[in-house]
Amino acid sequence: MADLEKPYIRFEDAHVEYRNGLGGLRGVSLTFQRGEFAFLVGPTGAGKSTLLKLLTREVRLTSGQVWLQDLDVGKIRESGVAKLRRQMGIVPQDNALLPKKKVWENVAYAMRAVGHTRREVRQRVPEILDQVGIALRADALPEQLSGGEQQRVAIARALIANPPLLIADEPTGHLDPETSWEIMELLKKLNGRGTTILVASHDVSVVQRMGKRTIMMRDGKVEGDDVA
Amino acid sequence: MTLLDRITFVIGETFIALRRNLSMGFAAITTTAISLFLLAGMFYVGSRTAEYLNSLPGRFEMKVNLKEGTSFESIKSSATAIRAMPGVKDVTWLPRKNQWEKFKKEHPDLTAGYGFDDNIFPDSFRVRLSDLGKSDAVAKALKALPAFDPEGGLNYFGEAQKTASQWLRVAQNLSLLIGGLLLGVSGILIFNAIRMTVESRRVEVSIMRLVGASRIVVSLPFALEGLLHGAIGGALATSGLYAVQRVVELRLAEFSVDAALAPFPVSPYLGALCAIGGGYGGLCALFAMGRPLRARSR
Repeated sequence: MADLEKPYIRFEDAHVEYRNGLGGLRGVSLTFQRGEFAFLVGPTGAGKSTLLKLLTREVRLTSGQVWLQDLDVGKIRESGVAKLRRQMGIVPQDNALLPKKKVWENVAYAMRAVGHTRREVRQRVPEILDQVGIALRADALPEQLSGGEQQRVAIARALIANPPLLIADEPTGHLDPETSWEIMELLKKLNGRGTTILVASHDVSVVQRMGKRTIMMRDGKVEGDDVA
Repeated sequence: MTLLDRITFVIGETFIALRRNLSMGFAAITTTAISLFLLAGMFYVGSRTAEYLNSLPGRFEMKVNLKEGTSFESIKSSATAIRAMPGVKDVTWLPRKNQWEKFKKEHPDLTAGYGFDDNIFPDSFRVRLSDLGKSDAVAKALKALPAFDPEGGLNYFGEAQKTASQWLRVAQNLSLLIGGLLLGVSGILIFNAIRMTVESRRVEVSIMRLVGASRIVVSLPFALEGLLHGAIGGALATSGLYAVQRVVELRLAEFSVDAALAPFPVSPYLGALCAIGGGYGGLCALFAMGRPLRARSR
């Protein structure tokens, strides 16, 4: 019972100062429960991406603490960052797909990089592609895909380790409203299977339509926390 | 099985990296090959020349004549003093009687009718040197011996020896300089090739980082690329040395020169040059990828 009440993710007075003085965090305190689906919204430079990058350790804290379960993320050594990232799925802002590799190869490449055998790759890749609804385009190259399909491939790649946490930075940033909604539906489906999902977005209409917890950020601070 | 899979993945990535910057890689490999060829070639020529000089008895020898009437005790103490001189390998006493008899045997026509009293030879020492560079110092010390005959008491190929070793040293230093410079250039080329590969593979690197690939998996292909550049350069340098030796052998045969060269030790040179080149290339690669990969991990 105690474990259920304990936050899965905890930001305690998190400060981040960039060298250029832009877009850091100024004392953010937030908690997320396991299995939650939450949006971080706000204008450019509000600190949404920085907050997510603190969790993935792409950015380091200036002060404060970030906890993932019992793990003090800020204190993890550089050598431990890879292990941390294997516990989560990350969908970056720019998709980062390999243009000369087919859809299935993009997913397979990520699996091979973290040490999965060819056999595991052959077995798991079709399952993941099916899970995100892109199995029929497995042999297509990224340039032959629509924006929404590319985003699905990026999500598929983030699911290779079946992670309990999925972090997506502006996953609908350059998609039309209908495709954005499809991506959100996909994330909702994954959340329904128990995956904790944190999404940074400035697509307010889609976020409102989802009816999930929404954290408003501005100038590196939390302005509002609208729990669904 | 997992380990084998990881190894095949890393090797596959290495070859992809190698193909990305073929021309830069080619420049790095050939420069490494030329520099190692020069350095190892000069080492080889130097060691062979030293071997050759050592094998020629007269080249390292000095003949020291003693004053007429030098006592046996004085000869003994002089021999002990010479043996203790730095650069001296050994000393042999040549009694005047033995020298005269040998000369008479070799030149009966010239010595017919001459007896022992006509012996023109003084008591002498044959001094063999272990280090040509010390010949002048040894000569000076020999001249200071009380039994030394000041009238033409020392015969040796001092100047010739000095000139030979000086030329050899100049050639070695020049090769060391040019080879060293080229090795520096090849290091820069390997460094740049790896930097360019890291840049051209930044999407792959960022994907590996995102999904939590270990540092070794991310960086090993680049280190292996540098190592391969150096090792291939080492192998090419060995081939070059072998080819040069073959050409020299063929030319000698053409001119019917009776001076068979010792066979070129391919395996030790191949092993050593590949190891040196590989180690050097790997080191350059480590320097090259350190900063960009660190920057990309954040």
